[in-house]
Amino acid sequence: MERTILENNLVLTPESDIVSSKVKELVEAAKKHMNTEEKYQGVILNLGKVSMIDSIGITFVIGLYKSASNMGKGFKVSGLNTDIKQLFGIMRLDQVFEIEATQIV
Amino acid sequence: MLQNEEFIQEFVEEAMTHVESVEAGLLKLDAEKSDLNEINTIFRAIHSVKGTAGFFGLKKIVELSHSMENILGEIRNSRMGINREIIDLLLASNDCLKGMIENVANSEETEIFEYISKLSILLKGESISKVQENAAPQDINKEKAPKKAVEAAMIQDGIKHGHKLFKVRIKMNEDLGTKEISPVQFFKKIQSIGNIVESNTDISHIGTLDDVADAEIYFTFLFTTVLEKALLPIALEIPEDHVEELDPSTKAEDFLKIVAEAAAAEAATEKVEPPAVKEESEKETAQAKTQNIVVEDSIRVHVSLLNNLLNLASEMVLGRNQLLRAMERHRKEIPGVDPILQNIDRITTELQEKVMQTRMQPIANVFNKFPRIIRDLSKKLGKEIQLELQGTDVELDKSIIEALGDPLTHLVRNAADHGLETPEKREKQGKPRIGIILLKAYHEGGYVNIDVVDDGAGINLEYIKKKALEKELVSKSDVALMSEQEALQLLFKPGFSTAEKITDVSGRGVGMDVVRTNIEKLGGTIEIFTNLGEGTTFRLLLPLTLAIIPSLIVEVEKQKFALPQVNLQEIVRIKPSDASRKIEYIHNSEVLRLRGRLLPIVHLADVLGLKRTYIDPETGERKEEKRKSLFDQRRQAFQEKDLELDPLECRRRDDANIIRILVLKIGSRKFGIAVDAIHGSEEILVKPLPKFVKDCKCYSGVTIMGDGKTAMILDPEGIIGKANLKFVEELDRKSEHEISLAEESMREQQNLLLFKCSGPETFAIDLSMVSRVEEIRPEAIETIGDKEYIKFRGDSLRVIRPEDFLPVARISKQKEKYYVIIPKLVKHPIGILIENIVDTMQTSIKLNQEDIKHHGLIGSTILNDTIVLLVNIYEIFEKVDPSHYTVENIKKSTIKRKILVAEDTPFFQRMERGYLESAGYHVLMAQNGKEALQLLQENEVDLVLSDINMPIMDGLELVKKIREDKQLASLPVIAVTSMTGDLQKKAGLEAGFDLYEFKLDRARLIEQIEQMIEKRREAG
Repeated sequence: MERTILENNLVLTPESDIVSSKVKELVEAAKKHMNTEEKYQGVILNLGKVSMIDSIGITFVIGLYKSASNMGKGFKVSGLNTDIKQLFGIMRLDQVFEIEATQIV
Repeated sequence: MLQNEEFIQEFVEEAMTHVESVEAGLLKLDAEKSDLNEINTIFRAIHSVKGTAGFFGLKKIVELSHSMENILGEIRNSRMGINREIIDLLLASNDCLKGMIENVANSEETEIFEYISKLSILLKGESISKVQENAAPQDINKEKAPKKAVEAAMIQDGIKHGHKLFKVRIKMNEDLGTKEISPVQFFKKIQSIGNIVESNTDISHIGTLDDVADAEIYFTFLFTTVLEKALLPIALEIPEDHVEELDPSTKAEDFLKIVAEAAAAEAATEKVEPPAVKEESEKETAQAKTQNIVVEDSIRVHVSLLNNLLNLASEMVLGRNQLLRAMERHRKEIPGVDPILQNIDRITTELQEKVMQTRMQPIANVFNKFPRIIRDLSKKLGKEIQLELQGTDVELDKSIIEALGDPLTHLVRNAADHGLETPEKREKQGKPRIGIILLKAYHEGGYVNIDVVDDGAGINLEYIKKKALEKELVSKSDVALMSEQEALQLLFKPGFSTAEKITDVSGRGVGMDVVRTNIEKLGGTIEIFTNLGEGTTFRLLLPLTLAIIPSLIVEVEKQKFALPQVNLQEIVRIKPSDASRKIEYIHNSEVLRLRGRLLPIVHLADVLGLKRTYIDPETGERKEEKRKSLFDQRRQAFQEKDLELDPLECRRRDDANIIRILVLKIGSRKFGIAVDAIHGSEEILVKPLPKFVKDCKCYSGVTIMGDGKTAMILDPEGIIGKANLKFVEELDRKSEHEISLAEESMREQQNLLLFKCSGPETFAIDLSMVSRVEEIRPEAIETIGDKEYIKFRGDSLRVIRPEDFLPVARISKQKEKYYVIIPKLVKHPIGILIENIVDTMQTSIKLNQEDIKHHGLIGSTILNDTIVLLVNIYEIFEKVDPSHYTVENIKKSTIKRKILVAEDTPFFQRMERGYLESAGYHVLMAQNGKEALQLLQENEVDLVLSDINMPIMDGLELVKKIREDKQLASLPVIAVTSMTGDLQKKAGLEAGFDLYEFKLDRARLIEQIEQMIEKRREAG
């Protein structure tokens, strides 16, 4: 998982699809990146490289949101493809955290 | 997913009705643009198709319908206008959809890319800005509120139209995690079979990233779909207990509460986070909800169930019939049983009617596809066509409705292609540019008629004949003899096509024969009426239903048959001894003259190949009938014997030989079937013919009657074919050659009295000249001078013996009794003394005036192998009493008056001619009305004498034609006829005759002629 700081936000970019086989790895990486010394206001999950997400993957996204919230950070998902955006829409997750279709470069 | 045949079939049926309604809706939209209701209907229909197709995993159907839905959604939200292009594309897409549904098994192989891409181009090009879901998020926010409202309305619509409301709970990891299917695919699937109305994702079980491995996400959603509760778990592949059906009247404002509660119940511990941006949309949803929900008043039942019901009801009818028959005797014996039977009788009838009704469908189901067809055709053919539909609510049995589509389509296509002219041609002919095709359904005489009418060019008979000749479908001689109807029937010959070139639309040379075959399979018939330059009507006559029909049970040669009553017009009874009902002959075939119409008669036994029998009057035994024309001869032979038999016995045998004629009507054709007995009417259950008698055209089915016996059901249409019947209307239009043949045989029949005098010769006199025949004893004949007299009605009546005046044998012998013929319509009657009455006979005679010539004889003819001399009583009387009977030669004027006599009977021709000529008139003879008219054009005549009954054109028509003709209108026309009824006289005078004279009072006739001519001269 790639990590950058952009405009005061921690941007996490998974390199591949968020599926059960990868989730464990992602969780560990996310925890590591979030516990950084650098100052940031919010966490942005960049799904620009993700074409598919499974149910554990969704759990991961929610877990990430929960963790960020617990740390008092903002949370936003960006760069979703249409399918995933629709999926989050149906699940009303767009009402839980902010969703942004635009890709973060 | 295609495993469940039954479900699939249901889907196909349902989806077909949807795509059909889409088509109808689109056409309506095409005509009157933005009708919101119509758009909604279309949208719903497409949506339903998408829903169920999604359930079956028919991806291509889902994809295409989804694309169509997108466009329709934009139109509905006024973000897109309606134009030809859109309608065309939607129609084409709908066709593709239809094709896929029809061939559902191969729908996945259908190429739909073209439609999808075109639809998406339209969607992009025409929509305002944001259509696709992946547009900018700020747009989403803007659009959210109205979109919500639209969704809410859609849900309302859905629920109103039979969608069900479910609450579904999913454990994301447990239910989906173990499957191949990804959440994205899963939710797409959900959306393809219905609409998610509200949802809630319970994320309370996940506290931090650490919980990700083993926490569960609970997703609860409210869902509307056409699917049944039992199908939903199958479709979504989730456990059954995850699905709960909700009351569809649940208020929208409660939706959120329901999902939230469900989630809470599941989660039990943590609170659900209240959704933030919900309130506004919620209000909108609530507003849209205010409409009342309409409860569906119909349910969908499988046809096989209805068929079963119908069969059971039919068996019930049968059982009822048998019960009534069996209980007939005990009705009075067992108290109280009668009302019970009546009740069962009535209820069974009602039950059967109701069950039949369930199968009845409006003809609109077929008609409604024609606006589209016409729209396409007018485009293709470059013709302007207006389609009119009438009687769309007329109902027919489902099976008939279904089978009607193809033949009707063919007829409509033909009407558009062959019938209607191009707009330019129409304008040239002074017709409106727009051609009209009318489809009209209506009830008539137990049948449903469907007319396909066009106001086009009409059918050119000569052209058809020519084409038929070219294609060698008929021979030259056949064509020459063809009547209009027969020529039109050529259209139905296999391989016949008149189209100049083969087009997309028609002209492949197949079709019309198939049309007819299909219609006939349904127990229907097809008729054509055409007027050159004015248009053509194809008329289909169809039975309402095929299952149970009221019928008449008839008997012939001890076998019973059922005759459908729809065809039955009336029943005519002919007693052997009744001379007033006459069977006549044309071409050796029997006809009945019924109220002035000639009705062809066939004997059922002959058609069916049964041996005809009769009861021998002497022995009372049943014997085989060898003579074909049984009616007359049997009757005569019978009467003589009657005299010696006991009157009761006579009546019994008379009854047994009564001929009963059933007058049947099929379309415009009428004919009679002679049967031996009629047993009354019964409702019969039509069962198909067993294979081994399938090709017997005379039968349409078989049934079991009340007495438990089977009976064949007669098919009148088949009987016409088998008996090779020709109809009078057709005869009217025969070619010249045929006319002369017909004329020969259609000569008016004469009633002759055959008698003998003292010699062996047989004489005949026309019965119309006979007032009565008296039987006298020889001692009653008194001789005064050389003349003989008898007392008759208080007067003395001179009697003569014809043999004294004719060149025949004279044998003097005393007989025990004599007969005296008293002639009719003579001023100074003289009785004719004869010795024996041989027969009375109705026949058409061939008069020979050459071989046996004598004053007092008209001529001779041969009847029953005997030479018969036809007596001219007037000439004999002239000889007997010249002072009274010699005709005064009327030579008052120097100019010979010309009289035209129209008379078909040679006998009267000669009588009238001879008499008039001897009175000094110049006589022109015509064989019938038509000839008379022709002669009138060529000659100037002073007066017309006309018979009434004549072939080709009768006297009534002749006089009408004369009155219509300006030049001839004032011509005196006198009817000279043997039709002596008051009504007939009235009809004659109404038709335009100046005088109505009976055959044949010579002296009176001459007087009248003179008076008429005098009158006319005075009138100038």
